[in-house]
Amino acid sequence: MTIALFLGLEGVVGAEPLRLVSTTTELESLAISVGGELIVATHLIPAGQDAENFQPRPQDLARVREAQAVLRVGVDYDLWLDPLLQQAGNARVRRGGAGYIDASTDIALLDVRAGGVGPDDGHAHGRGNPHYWLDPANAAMITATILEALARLDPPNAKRYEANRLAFLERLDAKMGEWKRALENAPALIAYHDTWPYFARRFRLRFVGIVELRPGVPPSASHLAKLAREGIEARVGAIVREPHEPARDAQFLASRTGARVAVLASSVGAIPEARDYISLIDYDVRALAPSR
Amino acid sequence: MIEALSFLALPALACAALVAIHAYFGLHVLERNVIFVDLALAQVAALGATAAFLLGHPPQGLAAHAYALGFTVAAAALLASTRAWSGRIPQEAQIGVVYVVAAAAALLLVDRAPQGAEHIRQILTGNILTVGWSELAWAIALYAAVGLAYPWIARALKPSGWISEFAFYAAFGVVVTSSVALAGVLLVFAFLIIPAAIGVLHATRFASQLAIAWIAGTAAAFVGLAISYASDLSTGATLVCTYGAALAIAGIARGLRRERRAKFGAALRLGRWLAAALLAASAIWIAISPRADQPLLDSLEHAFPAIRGAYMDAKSLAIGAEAAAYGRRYRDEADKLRAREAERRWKGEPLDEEEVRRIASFEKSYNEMIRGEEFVTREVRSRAREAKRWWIAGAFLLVAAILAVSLPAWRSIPRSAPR
Amino acid sequence: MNKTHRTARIALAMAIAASATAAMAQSIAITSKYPGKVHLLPATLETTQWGWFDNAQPPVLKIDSGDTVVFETMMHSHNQVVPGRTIEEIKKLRTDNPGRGPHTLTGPVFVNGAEPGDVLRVSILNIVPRAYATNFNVPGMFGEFPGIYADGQVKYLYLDMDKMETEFLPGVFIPLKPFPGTTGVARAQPGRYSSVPPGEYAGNIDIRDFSEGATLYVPVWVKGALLWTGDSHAAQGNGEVNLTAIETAYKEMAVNVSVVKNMKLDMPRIETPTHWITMGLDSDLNLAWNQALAQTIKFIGEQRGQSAEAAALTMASVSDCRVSQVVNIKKGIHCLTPKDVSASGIPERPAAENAAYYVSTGRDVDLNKAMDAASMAMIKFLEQKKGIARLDAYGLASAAMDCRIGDMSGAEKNVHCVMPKSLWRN
Repeated sequence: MTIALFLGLEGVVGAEPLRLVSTTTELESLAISVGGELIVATHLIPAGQDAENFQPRPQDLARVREAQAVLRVGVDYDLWLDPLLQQAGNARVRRGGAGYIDASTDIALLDVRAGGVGPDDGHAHGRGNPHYWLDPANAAMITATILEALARLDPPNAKRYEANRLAFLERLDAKMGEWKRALENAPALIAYHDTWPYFARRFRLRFVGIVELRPGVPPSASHLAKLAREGIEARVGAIVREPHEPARDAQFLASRTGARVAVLASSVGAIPEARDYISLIDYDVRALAPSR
Repeated sequence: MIEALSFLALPALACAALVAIHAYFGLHVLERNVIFVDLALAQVAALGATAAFLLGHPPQGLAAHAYALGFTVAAAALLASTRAWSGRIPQEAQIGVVYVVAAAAALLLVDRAPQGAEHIRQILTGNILTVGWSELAWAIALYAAVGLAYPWIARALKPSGWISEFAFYAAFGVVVTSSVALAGVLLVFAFLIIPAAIGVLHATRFASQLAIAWIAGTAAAFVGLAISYASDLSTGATLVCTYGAALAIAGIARGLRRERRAKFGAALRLGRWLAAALLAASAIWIAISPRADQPLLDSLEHAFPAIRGAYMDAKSLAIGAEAAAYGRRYRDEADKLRAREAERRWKGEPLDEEEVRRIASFEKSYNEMIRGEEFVTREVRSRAREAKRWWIAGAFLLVAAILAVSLPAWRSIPRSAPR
Repeated sequence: MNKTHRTARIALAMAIAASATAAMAQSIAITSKYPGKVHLLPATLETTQWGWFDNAQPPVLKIDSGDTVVFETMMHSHNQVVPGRTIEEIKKLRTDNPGRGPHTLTGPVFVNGAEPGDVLRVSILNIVPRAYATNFNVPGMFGEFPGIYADGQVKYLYLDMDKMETEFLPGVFIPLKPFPGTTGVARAQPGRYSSVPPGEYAGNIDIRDFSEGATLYVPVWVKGALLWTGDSHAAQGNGEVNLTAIETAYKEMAVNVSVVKNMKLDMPRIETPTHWITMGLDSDLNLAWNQALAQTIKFIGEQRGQSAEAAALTMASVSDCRVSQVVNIKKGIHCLTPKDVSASGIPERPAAENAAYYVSTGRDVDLNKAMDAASMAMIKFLEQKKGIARLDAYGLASAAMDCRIGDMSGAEKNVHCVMPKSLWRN
């Protein structure tokens, strides 16, 4: 007991697995693909809940306090984490600490618009669309960031982390070809929210429009009319919604455009089939792939 | 036009049906002074649906509806029972407690949910724009049944007994559960209270109140739908605001109806004094803090940009105009870049990573430069206001004085005319 | 400046704005007060290069020796790198690209007749910045003290071009002296190189004396020289400690460009109306100093026909050396030597506060440490004695502090950072 306490105070990693807390389930899954058995990963937002409106619970404070690494999405997606980090008083994982990992580091962002609300981004460049993990190619960058941090926190195991990541990238590369082929002739789409630009770019999908342009503001009649018109012109094949997005609005457009409704998941665990990162993308690809 | 009609026909019909039943209950709600009861009952219904979902039933299935209904009826029984306490605790407070407890309990349930349950309320909350014919048909049948049955039952029961109270809350709960799923909380509240309030303003007999509420409510809904379409605005929110405006118009109309001359004159006098006070306050504010937001001056400038010329010299105006032009140019270029990138996601040669990064970098630079140009526009204006603050304050005070002082002189004209 | 010039400038700016709306890069030759044929080069996606110098980049404009180019520039933007497969690659990519880059640089411009071994002469005729600028701290990544200033902030400043000053903080005014932080030519080596470190091709030298009226002489390394510019500053301290100067975008920067055939240079030099500037660049400030020393001695030798030993003695009595920046991977020191060979004495290098300056000093065998100590002491002074908030003090030091190399004769090296008292008013 005394020894354990002593070790804990010294922050020696040793045989103890490294404790990593991620905000979302998909980042947790990517962290595990690098950390493997060497880390114990947990997530804060329950699977399938709205990350941007999440309210931390008392247990979360304890999770962050005991963590050696905190992994976040960034890009203003999990802003609630900042007060939590302040409160937890764990200097290792605070912004600038060795255990603070922002997965958006060095991601090529899309749709960078003016008006970021981040607490201290240090400039006025605005924010990009935060759903960058939905491009499987970005997983290479995210895992690079994770690998760099894990190697920094636990140098003796750096080689093993690196090997884990390379093995993961190999599996991902193999899948990527399969996914690309599956979506080769996918029809045009309409999405409920603007969640899919990264996914669309990787798989060359055309999203004709977005139903709810600003989260929480329902569409106007003329916007819906325009979407329906453009949807018919572009021969939209599916209206994409996530499990938590209103079914009725998607159904409405589907009936107007003659498309089907495709339920996609943007987050690991949002639907039972999406068990980890690769099966998440796998599920989404299959949900969109034209039936043969 | 045909496209508009095809999109608005069902929502318009839904509005008419919702107004028909809610105006009726609204008059009762106003009379009983339980204004927020619909929010509380809707919340309880959502709690019921959440519980059903956690127990493994699909969110819009029969079981979910049954749970929602069961919870609502239970809440109706509770509200009917606690009515007796309303001497000590106002009924409105009890309703508030039901609302917050139901909302919080749903939150706790959601926290235990395996996945995606916090959106269940969102799923249960409808959007009037995408209402489907089958659900609307069901709702109309339900409203017709409740609308015909409830008055008949109410007449048969002892006026303020437990059973009559329970019947009211239960009938109302059933309606609200269905209508929130159709049109959302905000809109249902507006349908409930505002037409009834307009009726009460303009009539005293229940039947006349109801007739006025129906006509005004339906008309306002149609106007709101038209505005939403024409101005490309979110339909539910536009409808609620249109209802607010309708109530204001109804209020003014009532004011104009009675003892027109004297009241109108008094109102005009009050308006002038208020305007004078506003001007004087703005004058003091700009003298104290010329760099702060100046609501009056800002809105005047927004309506009449030429006003700026009165206190800004040609050079500052030119700097401001140039900054605005550059801001527009950058915004335009940023939009073009974004559109170009979005198109290349699916069309033509794909952009490689570096090109995407370059575009993101450009977007960032443009965003920063747009902010900079906006800053310049504000800064030259603030500087001019700071330099000329005494002049602006003086001008405001002068107009305020004219408004206040000329009042007796102006009033003497209509008085002397009849002599 | 007189009225016709202002009108001409406005006309030029309008022409740039108009041509920028066209999708493709273009140059419009117009006659004006500027020498040679005048080319306008607006900053668009097509006319800018982002973050890299690459000597194989196709030029966006071709000019003749003696022509004038009117550049428009963009504000820079922090950005990112590409992922590596191995941990070494990942680490290397990140450390090679700290956030200073990538700048958005307008160019490259191909100068007809420029051959390797020649010298390109770039004279700044005129700079017109936009009316705003920013100074910011990017949290916990860059600058001289990233660990200490882990929080970020951005400040917008209004540039008063009539008074040529900006109010950095209430009552604290920084005089404006616009200069391009980056002006350079392509390297000899093929391939892509980050635009962050400066070098023998000039680039991101951040020397604030390269402003209107000054001329850069830079060795040409490839055919056509390939001239770029960007990183537009309205003012900057010597040291640029928080990574940013008073950062702005130029509506217009007119430079006259010519090829000098019979001048042999291995490192860039700058000529101002009164001085010649020589420089040393290295990731280690001690080595940067050695290079600055060698360059200056060589220059004085050429200028006065002196032997190396004599030139070294002359340098100690006439050359005024300053720390240009310590945040661009390669840190820089530049020395100003008067053109007037009869001039003697170095401008005052106060070791303690006097009537004109607040002063902090750093003393160490290692010049890097001396610089850190001196600049940190000034930042702390601003915080504690002048009551300026942490990040504002860091920013003010970056934008207005002047760090000079002091006595270098002993084993310990001296850095004096001075801050003019004239910045504070009322």
